[in-house]
Amino acid sequence: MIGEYFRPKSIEEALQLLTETGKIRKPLGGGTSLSRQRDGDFDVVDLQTVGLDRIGEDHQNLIVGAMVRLDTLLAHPGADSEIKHAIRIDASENTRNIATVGGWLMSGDGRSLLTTTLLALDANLSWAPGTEKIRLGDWLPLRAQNQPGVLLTEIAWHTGTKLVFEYVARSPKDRPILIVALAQWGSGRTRVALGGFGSVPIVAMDGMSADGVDIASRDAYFEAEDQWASAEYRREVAAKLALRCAVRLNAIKESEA
Amino acid sequence: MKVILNINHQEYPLNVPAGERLLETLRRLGFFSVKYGGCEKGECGACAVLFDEKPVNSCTMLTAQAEGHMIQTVESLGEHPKQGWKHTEGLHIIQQAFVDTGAIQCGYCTPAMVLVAKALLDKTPSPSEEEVRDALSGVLCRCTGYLKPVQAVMRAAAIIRGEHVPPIDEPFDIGDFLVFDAKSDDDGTPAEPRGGTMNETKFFPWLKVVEGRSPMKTVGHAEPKVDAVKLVQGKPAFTADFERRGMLVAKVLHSPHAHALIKQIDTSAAEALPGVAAVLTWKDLPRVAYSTAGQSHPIPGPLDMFSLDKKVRFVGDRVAFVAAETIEIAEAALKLIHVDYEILPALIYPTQSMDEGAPIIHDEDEYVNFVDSDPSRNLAAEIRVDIGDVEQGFAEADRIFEAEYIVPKVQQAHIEPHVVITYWDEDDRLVIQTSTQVPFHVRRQLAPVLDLPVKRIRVIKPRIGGGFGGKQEVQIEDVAAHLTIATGRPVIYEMTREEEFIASRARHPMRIRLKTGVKHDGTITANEMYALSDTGAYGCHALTVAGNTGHKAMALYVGDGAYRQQPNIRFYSDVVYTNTPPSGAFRGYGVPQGFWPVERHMETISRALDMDPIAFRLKNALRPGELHPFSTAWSEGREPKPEIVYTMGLEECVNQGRMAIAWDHKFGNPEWRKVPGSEHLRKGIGVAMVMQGTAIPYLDMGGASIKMNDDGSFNLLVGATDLGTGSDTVLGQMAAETLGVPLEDILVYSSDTDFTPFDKGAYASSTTYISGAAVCKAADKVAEQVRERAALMFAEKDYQVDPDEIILEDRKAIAPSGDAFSFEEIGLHALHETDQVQIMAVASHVSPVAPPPFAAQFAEVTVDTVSGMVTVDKLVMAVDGGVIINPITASGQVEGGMAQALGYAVSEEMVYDELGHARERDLVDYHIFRADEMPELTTIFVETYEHSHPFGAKAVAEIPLDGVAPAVGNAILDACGVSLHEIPALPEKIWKVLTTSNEK
Repeated sequence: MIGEYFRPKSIEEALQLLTETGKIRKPLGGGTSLSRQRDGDFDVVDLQTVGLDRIGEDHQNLIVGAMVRLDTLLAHPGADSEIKHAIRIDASENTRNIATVGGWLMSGDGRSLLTTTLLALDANLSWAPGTEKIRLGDWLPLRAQNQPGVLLTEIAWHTGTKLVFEYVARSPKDRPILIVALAQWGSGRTRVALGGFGSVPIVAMDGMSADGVDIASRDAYFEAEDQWASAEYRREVAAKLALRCAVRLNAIKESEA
Repeated sequence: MKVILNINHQEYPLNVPAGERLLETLRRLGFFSVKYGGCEKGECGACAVLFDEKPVNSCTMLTAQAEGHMIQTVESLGEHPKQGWKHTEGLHIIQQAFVDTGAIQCGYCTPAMVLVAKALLDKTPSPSEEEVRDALSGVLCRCTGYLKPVQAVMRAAAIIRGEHVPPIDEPFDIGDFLVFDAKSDDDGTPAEPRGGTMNETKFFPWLKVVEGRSPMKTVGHAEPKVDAVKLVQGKPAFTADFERRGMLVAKVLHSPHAHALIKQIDTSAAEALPGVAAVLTWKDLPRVAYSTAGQSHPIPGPLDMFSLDKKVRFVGDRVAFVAAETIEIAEAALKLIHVDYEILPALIYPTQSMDEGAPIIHDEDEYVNFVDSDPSRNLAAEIRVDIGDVEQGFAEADRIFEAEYIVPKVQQAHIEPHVVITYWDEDDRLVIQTSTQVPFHVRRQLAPVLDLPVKRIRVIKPRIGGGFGGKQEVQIEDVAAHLTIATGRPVIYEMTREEEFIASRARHPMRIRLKTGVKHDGTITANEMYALSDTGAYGCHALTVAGNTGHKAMALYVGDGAYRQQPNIRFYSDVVYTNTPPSGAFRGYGVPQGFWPVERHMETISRALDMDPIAFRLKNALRPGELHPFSTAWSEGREPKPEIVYTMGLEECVNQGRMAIAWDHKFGNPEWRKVPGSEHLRKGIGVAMVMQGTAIPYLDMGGASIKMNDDGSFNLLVGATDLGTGSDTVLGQMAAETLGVPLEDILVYSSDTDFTPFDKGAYASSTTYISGAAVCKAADKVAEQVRERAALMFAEKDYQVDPDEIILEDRKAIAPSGDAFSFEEIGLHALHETDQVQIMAVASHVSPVAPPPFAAQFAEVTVDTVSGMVTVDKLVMAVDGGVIINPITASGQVEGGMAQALGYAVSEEMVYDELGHARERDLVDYHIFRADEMPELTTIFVETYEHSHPFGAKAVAEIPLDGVAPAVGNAILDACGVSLHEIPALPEKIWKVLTTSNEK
């Protein structure tokens, strides 16, 4: 149950509130997840006025404040069309208008397309206090245990990276049971993230080319069984969708050449 | 904490708990347009408000977050155009468009949709359909299929831009035959995925008018719904919108175990919690066995339920009731109830229910059998129907086809949860204000449970936010009523979405075996179905749902030649108990379960015989003038009586549907199946033919009462319950047509057991047909009185007129000479001037027949042959529902029905683990289609004139649920060769078949 509500005006003030001794306080993004938590007593620190709601670009990196709402990212010209497609499937209009990118990463599970695509893009997370950055792929598996900082402030990824994803669901806008996201840098570096299963998406491959994306995907989801799909299905189809992603990506590159 | 909210441009200084959500604050302040959908994750969107001009869900944000922002609700938009002497601007253009286009059905999500539309059009004056659908994606609608809401937004956009929009009710030229061939311009090009191209600002369904029907002024026209104006304003019309002083909140403690005895239950800590008014357990209540199935007397099923029992029979079963001052206190009290369970072996799978040694779910002494129910074998109902000589038919067949099919348990998922308010009135009568489809059954069935005579119970049905059969159940009224009796105070009980999944009712899942004998020429010689139906922990609707599975689905194909004269049909069913949530009524009532196997089976047979699937079906299908084969064999547990099917437009439905979807170009065309540039995709097309029923003959009765007012208007009181279907409107239209007035002069009210005549309620596709006939009878009587009064008035002017020669038209009684009195003059004369009398009449109707509607359903799909994922691109349904009273409301029924059936086909199911725990507990995991993922929907009406109804109507409400799944299944077969026997058509199921066949 939420005891007190705070709305700090700056990151510093937010940090002070969140680190006050003897208090259980949680940062509040859009509220779509935290507003419905009823277990335990805690306070919330609403970050809507701390200045984390901006999108910037720096050296081919898109830098997205943790409080940027999904609809703002959707409308941003610098965001990849596949990221936008992922957002549209992940969240309806009403949710996009209030949910934040930071909150989505904090609360989303393995079936989130946005999280999976950002994982493929090897997004970096910035934390306060301090200047610590951590790769999304390093943070996600430990998300439930501990945080590298008090406050997630920014998410950044390289905008020159090509991204495609494929997914399987019961209907076009249903939560996917399988996601394959493939990102490729100009250097040829290729990274595959898999989603649609578990508490977080995972990295299946991070290599210097697209060779072996199918094998890597199959191996990564070798035991990905739950009540929504069998491991056999996920691993076999993931392999084929990874190849499809690679073909699509090549087609994009050829069309741009 | 103190906050200042800016709501609709006014500031509200408030003191709210820090954890309070905006939805709760707004409703407490009286903004009742903001609806509660029971959900916790914002998935339904009925609670949407504009937050700095953008739609957000008020249930997933804290009130405190809203401080400093602008909140807007529908209350800030337009209002009724006529507010007495006060000038108003009338409805907002968007609201008016929703009214005009028929975009409002139950109206529960309408305020949210209107706000979403406003936000969109404020920033995008010329949106594409894709943008409209994207904007509407956050508001789930279970009624409309989203087509009309999309059209409403497009129409409003055009009006706001200053463009001309055509009237909705044109160019419907009654009496003409529309030429359908001209519209089949689909050359087979694959549909654009996930986004359409529609930019129409009006919509009128394709309608083939019955030959010889005379022109009418109201019936047959696209009249706006009589309740649309209040719903589009978000007026407090639903049960939860009503407030009573000192009202308590009820909560139910649900069982965590699938099967257990309550050894001990300690409520002392809960009772001691400040703010708790009552805690009830099985020890506190009289032990009365009853059925929650809302059906006529005597209930055609076992009495096997208690308000509270010492045994729990599924995860979610009731353990205790709590009433408290607030919802938080009630929830806290639930946690303080200590229950000591003795866990019993649970029976989760229906295939094991009748095994020797299986746990017995109903071993209580009070169990009351109905016909062949046998609790000692976990058998809630048994059906054995043999028509003709089935074994001889099989012996005469050249080939026998046998297969087993499976259909899942699915949820009605009405957006308004079950909700009830109870209170003692000043006469110590118990008032039950409830969102129900069956107010009169609630009163009758609850009386013994509450130990009150029927006459001391009054049931009021306000507006219903969707029901689909889920509210044909006396499911929660007893909870609040017991607590009101215990406390003497008003009580509200409103289910959460999770409760809807774990503790409500659902469609019976079935495992169905079919065996069909055919000659080489395609003649069916015998058809046999065995349905194992899972009724869950209680036998509500057990017999009648399963009975309808056979009664409709097995009646359509009788065979040809001599077999047509003497069909050989067998339908057996066992309806068994399991330790899962009870099944019950869901729109279609057993028939969708039956047509999945039948229509998949027919497809298999036609292909095996190398026959055209349409020709094969029509060769064997029932024809006009033939006996309904089940009419002499089974009738809802009552005595069957023979019935001839006189009206049947199935063949014409097929003709129109195949043209609309360009069947002849696509079916069997390998080139069309390919999707250029996407080798892994294959398109397919499928068909299904279906029939339903129209009411239950000799049983369903509806009543109507009409009285004339001083101004010539009429009050029409009906017990029929409009749960969003538009029945109030079509009943009003029939009264208006009979009385010669516009619909606006008919004031429809439904329903209140104290004031409105009896009606069995809204189920079995019966309201237009049964209640409508009652309305027509009452209107005929009133019309006769109006003519007699007019004749009297003419006589006072020395003009002798035979009342029978007087015509009622345009609010006037017109003599053959052309002289006329207005209805206002007649009303004043009758009530105030001479030989005063109240012009009024009451009538009721019961039908000896149940003329079936028929339909041809077509589907077009794209299958990903690598993943098995299916995308449904198009659904076309051509329906013979008799004469269509209101094409807009009727087509809304078909579109919404197809959308529900689409979920049944590809995405919806309720799954339980081995301990009986539900996998689906919200509308995230239980996915119902959003506006931005719907296929193209086309509705065609092929009218027939059913002479047993005053205006020739039959029904359209349930039949749209029947054909989509098999048509989709057949389209999947056409696309990739996968013959599914089980729905939903999940990607993995298709992938498995594809993989296996590839390996071979």
